[in-house]
Amino acid sequence: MKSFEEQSYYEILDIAPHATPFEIRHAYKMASEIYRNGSLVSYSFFSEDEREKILASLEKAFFTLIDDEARAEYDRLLIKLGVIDEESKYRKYPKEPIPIWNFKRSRATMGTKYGISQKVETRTERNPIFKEILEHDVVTGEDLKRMRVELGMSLEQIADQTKIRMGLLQSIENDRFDDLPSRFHLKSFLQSYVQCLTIDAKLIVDRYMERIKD
Amino acid sequence: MKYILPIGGGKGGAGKSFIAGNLGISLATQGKKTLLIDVDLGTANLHTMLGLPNSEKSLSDFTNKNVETLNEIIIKTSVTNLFIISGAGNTLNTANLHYQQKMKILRAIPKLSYDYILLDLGAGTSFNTIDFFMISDFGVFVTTPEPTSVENVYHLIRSIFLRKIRYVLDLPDFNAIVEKTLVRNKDTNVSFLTDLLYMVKDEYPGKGQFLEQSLQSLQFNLIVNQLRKRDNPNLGVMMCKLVERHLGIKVRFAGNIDFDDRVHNAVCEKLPFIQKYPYTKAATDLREICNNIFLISRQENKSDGGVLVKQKY
Repeated sequence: MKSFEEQSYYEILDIAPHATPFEIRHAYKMASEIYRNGSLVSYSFFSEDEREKILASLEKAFFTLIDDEARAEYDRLLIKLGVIDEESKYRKYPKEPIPIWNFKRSRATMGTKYGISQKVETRTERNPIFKEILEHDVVTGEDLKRMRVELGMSLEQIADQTKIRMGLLQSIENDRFDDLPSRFHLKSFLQSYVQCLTIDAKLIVDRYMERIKD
Repeated sequence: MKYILPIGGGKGGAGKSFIAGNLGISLATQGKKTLLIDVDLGTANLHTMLGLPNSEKSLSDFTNKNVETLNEIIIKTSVTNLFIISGAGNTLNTANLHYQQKMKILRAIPKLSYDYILLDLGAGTSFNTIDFFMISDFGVFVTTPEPTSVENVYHLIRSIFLRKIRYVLDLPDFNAIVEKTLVRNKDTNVSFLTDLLYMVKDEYPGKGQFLEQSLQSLQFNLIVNQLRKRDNPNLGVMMCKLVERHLGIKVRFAGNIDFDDRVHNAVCEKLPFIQKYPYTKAATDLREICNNIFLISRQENKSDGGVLVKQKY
């Protein structure tokens, strides 16, 4: 356990190296709440001297990190000392806002929407089965099933994400077009389904719909 | 598998007996063979909270050598699976235990065969309170969202930390190293302790290593009791974070219990709150906290509940 003096500014504020200014400000605000004189949380925990030292460290950390130039310089120092590495400076994927109607959002499913896209992207680029499917002019339900299986996804997962009934997804995979209420519905469900499988949804959707020319 | 859970918290009236009794009932109703021991000698209340008559058998019979073993003073309660050793007794001087008497109790407790043994400790941070925290790696602190209570809990945690250090050294070595540390840490609360730990690790690497491990294996829980509407529900979480960050001790936030005026009713009628008002928020909180501590014990259980009774003093 490192003492406050030995911790980096990021550790003092309890944020990641790739924190945004918003996060930095928020962290500093939370920390001040806890460590300020008169806060119930830290009442009697520290002596006056200790408290002042900590508040001073927090302040220094905040003002360094909130200033772009100072932060860049500080980061260079940390990288040089080997405390952090280059990669941790960059977030793996951009933070997107969570849709407010996402009521069922829970710890378990929180990252899944974006998480799957990430995994899917790397897999589809190099996957031979995907390449082979994309070579044909049309895409069959069977192809979709193969893509799905290749990605290790179950129909339940896709049903859960897209909120489309499993029966309908199965109809899509089995090419049972009549099971779906209309061509419009088919295309719409198909789009949602394929978005779970790959980034290049439009292409796949068009090639599937090619076969349904009535 | 046995768990010994001392329930302490510094401030009187925080709710230790309340929580001990009701947690005991919650565990017992889930089928766990539970024993409550009222170690709050001198101000024993547990039997009153549970509505048990002032029985003849109590802990003082054990300390006064009227009985040989703790088993002889265990009383059945009206709740299946729940047993109790009362702290009340007719002798008036039990509050002041001799060292030998205390050690006798400390040694006897781990020998009992119950799934859960809850110790209702007294308020304060006397040697007797702290020693009962040394008996196992588990423990529960009870605080209310008031500066007085928070102050006492922190005092208790720091005392336990210091006691852990005291345990690994001989008294003269301990005093010497405390002297040295004080020189650089006058008037500090936390840095004195962390510095002391550092000095011990430096001067006595073997013992320091053991000490570090014994501190790391602590699994304390914090309950915030009597939370009113205006109080911050995150108080407990933040307190645990603070302790972990600055002292390196793991204290898990087990939950909040809402303030409920009806607790007063239950106590006055000498009925357990969780039985009289099972559908109140406070009762739900109690059950949830029971599950938190229960599950936690389950998951993190590695050995035999981390029972240690240090022979050397």
